[in-house]
Amino acid sequence: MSGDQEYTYLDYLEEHSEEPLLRVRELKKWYPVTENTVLFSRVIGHVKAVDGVSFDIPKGKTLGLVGESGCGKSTLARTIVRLEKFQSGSLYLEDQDISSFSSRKEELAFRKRVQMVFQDPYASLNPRRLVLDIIKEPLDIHRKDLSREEKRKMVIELLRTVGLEAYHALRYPHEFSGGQRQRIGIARALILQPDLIILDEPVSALDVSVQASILNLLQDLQEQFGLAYLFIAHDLSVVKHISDMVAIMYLGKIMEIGPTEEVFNHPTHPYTVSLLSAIPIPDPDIEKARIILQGDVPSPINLPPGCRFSPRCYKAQDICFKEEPELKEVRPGVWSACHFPEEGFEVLKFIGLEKDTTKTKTKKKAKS
Amino acid sequence: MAQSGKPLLDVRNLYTYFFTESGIVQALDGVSFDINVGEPVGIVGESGCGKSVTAQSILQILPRNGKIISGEVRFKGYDLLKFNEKQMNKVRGKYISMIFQDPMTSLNPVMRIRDQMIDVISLHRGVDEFEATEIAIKMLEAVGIPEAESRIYNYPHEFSGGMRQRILIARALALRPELLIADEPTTALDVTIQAQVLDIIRNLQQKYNLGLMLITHNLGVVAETTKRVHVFYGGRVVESADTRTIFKKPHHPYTRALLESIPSFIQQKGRLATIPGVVPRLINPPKGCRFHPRCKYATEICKTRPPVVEIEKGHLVACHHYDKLEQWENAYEKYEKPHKS
Repeated sequence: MSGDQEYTYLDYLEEHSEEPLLRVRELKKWYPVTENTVLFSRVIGHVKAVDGVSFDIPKGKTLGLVGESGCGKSTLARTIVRLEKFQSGSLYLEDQDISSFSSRKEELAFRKRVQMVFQDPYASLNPRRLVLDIIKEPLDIHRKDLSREEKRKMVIELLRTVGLEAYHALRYPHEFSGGQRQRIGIARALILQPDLIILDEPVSALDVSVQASILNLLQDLQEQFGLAYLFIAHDLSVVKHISDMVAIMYLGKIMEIGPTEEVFNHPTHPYTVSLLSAIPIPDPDIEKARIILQGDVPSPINLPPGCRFSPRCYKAQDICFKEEPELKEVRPGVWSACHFPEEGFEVLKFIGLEKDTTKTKTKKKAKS
Repeated sequence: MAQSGKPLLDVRNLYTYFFTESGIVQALDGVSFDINVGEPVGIVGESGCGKSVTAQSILQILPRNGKIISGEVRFKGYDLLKFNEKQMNKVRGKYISMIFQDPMTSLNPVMRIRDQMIDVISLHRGVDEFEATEIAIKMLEAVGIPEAESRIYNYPHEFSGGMRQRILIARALALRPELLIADEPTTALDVTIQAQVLDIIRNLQQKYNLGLMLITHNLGVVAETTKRVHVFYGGRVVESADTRTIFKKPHHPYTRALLESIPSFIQQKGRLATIPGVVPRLINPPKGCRFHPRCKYATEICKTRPPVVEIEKGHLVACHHYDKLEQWENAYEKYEKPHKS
């Protein structure tokens, strides 16, 4: 849409970011692949887990990050919370540069503001510690000014906030169900009153009825504390439910990014279209048109030349195999990395959720 | 697809218990359901509701501490529970096959795909190695493995998750069984791969007129793949009906609650409906209706076991209040909480 060729997504972000809490710019995280000979090991390639990703998360908003396994979602999350080093790019939390810390104090200040909730509530809690100690631990590190009694009070108050009871503090993780454990994990992330929580597949290990209650809790907490979320998931319905913005990731790159409703109702990138058409819809009346993607996600070591989605794309043409598309603004606010973006695509009609008036008429006729 | 004759699989009043150190787990507590010839049937429920135990009981592959206490598992009229181990071995694989959730752990990592497949084929079909290999290659081609002739000599780790699941489907169907039990076949896969695998299962099911017992917690998968659904809760079947009825006119409060709690793709944002409480522990299950502690309609009578009522032809519900729900639903919306048990 924008006539100027030079106008990139980065420019767009600079112009349009309203109170960005987290700014991620051109982030690259490559893992070396080595070949070991008898004496030496040499690098023969790189796994490009995160390959130049940029986005903003505004205060109090949720960015949903979607992608198939192996697309680099979790690496991105781990890089943002600085559990991983990265090759190039920059990370800012408000005005603080968090790509490197000059002192331990600076690092602590950062960790206090960004917390993480993990996927597996069974593996992320230490089975030998009381819930009280698990939730209290961040306070022991960051809030040495508080007395034991004060910390205990805070924990109990927080337990109630996340929907547990005070007496749960003196129990061990194995005494809880999956959903309750996830609540404990959330309480642990909340106790330092962070600004940003990275949620890495927080509900994918839970049953649907429990999943619903955790999603509700996350929404309530966001309202109550003004939290910003980076919500990583592969379940598109869940992401649609909870996110304000959504980024679709494929093999380390963002394929499409924009406001959730826009992206999910009128996707522009063929990969987004294929993903959306693959979700099983819980309604037997719908006879869905599907685009079934052929093949698997290619190995991130040997990326295909040109567009990384081209080998599986239903729209691919010659140029797609040669030139890698950059993010371009297809509609105001919706950016898509595709040479031939879809325009005016209606997901609901395509997958049959919104009935075409013509269709229903013919159906009725057929019945009578 | 309704068959007028005898069902292919008919499970009646099946009780399976597990004997553990902390007590007896009543995993299946009188489960009854059936699957017709060539019919895709879904078994739906949350974790711990007895879906997988049902599959294991049918094939009698329960863990050592599990025991079938009573009941009948009739397959084509024969009661499988009266079969001895030797007879069961003939049933497994040849008449009833099973695929599991995790495609990595169900394949032997140190054996080539060919060796894992031809064993079963030559044993049951009485053919030699070469012929068995031929059959295996044909099956792999049928499930869409490219270059099956050469890839059959690969090891499991050389395939991706979706490909491994295809191999398992090929192996399960190589003997042309009449019933395929698929226990969460796509749970470990990505959505795009899940769509591929479900497509294959649907096609082969129709091609071979296969009875399919699809165990899953994903209601979307059920809606797209099956003709009839049995909803499990706490080791019992709470509602059975054809798929459309389950989704459009569910009568059991649990089925309703379950359907309401999925975030919908079309619906606008808001709060999701939740089911209070947790799935009951089956060591000491609630008395009577097992859903009553979490049910917003529960009354005193719910502490007794509800009868299974056929409210329409083929639509079974195990609830005391199935006929009053509609009325109460409206009242509930008007007054928030009309009653509390």
